Amino acid sequence: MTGSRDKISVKVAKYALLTAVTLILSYVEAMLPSFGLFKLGLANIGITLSIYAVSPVCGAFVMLCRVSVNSLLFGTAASFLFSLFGGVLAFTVSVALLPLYKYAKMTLMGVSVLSSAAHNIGQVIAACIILGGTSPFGMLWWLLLGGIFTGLLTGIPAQLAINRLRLK
Amino acid sequence: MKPKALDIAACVFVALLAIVSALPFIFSDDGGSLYVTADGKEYSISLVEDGEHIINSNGESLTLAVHDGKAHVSAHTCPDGLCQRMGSIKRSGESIVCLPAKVSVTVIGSESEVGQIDGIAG
Repeated sequence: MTGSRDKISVKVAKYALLTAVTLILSYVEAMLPSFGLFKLGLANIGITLSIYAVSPVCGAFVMLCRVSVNSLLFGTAASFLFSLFGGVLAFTVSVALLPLYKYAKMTLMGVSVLSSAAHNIGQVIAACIILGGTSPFGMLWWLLLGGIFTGLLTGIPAQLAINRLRLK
Repeated sequence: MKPKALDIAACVFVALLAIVSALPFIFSDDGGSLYVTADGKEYSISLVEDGEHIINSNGESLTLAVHDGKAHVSAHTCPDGLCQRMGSIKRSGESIVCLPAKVSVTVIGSESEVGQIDGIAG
């Protein structure tokens, strides 16, 4: 039997592990060449796993850590708002889809595609706020289309990983 | 690991969303000029005359090349370079945006639509 102190230690370890995985994935992504406007969003594997294999609270923690650390390490002044909008919207959609996953109606592939779309919409809205106009919506269709592929590319490893993880 | 019906539905839904957001551009005509906002200022650039225009804004500088009725960013000072990867634009409503420089370039029908806006030297 584990005491409450052990439970807290286990929780701290899980949160730290998933934050580390997410940040490493962002770092790996920063080293990869980019494909036009598209980003793979490898870090979303870590955030999706935090939400689905542990809890939405853990997901929120990891997402906020990623957004702030990423802006500090690789970002510009505008990019904090930019990633935060995308991150929060993608997180909200992922959490909303949790029941569908629990009742085995959807896998992490579908979750990932939808949250990547939400991420793109969030970033376009952030760009509109920063620039003060609606012109960024012009590239939304392009981002959404690419998001289907990048969503699947991150959703498949996330699903493969969650099948093997025992983090609960 | 087999995709479920809702996974496929999710992909179709996003694809439809993409098509809907592309509709305004698919049926729009080629534009005649560019509407530029940079550092809070607004001006227009002709799409008819070929040339290069340097836009300085927010401490960054980008070069907008106009050729054959199309415009693209040919050089930039910011590290992202997203604006350059957005490729070229020519249809009304299409745009290139740069966040670090706070520049947005949108294709519009013709220069008369902008009204009286200061021209910019190339």
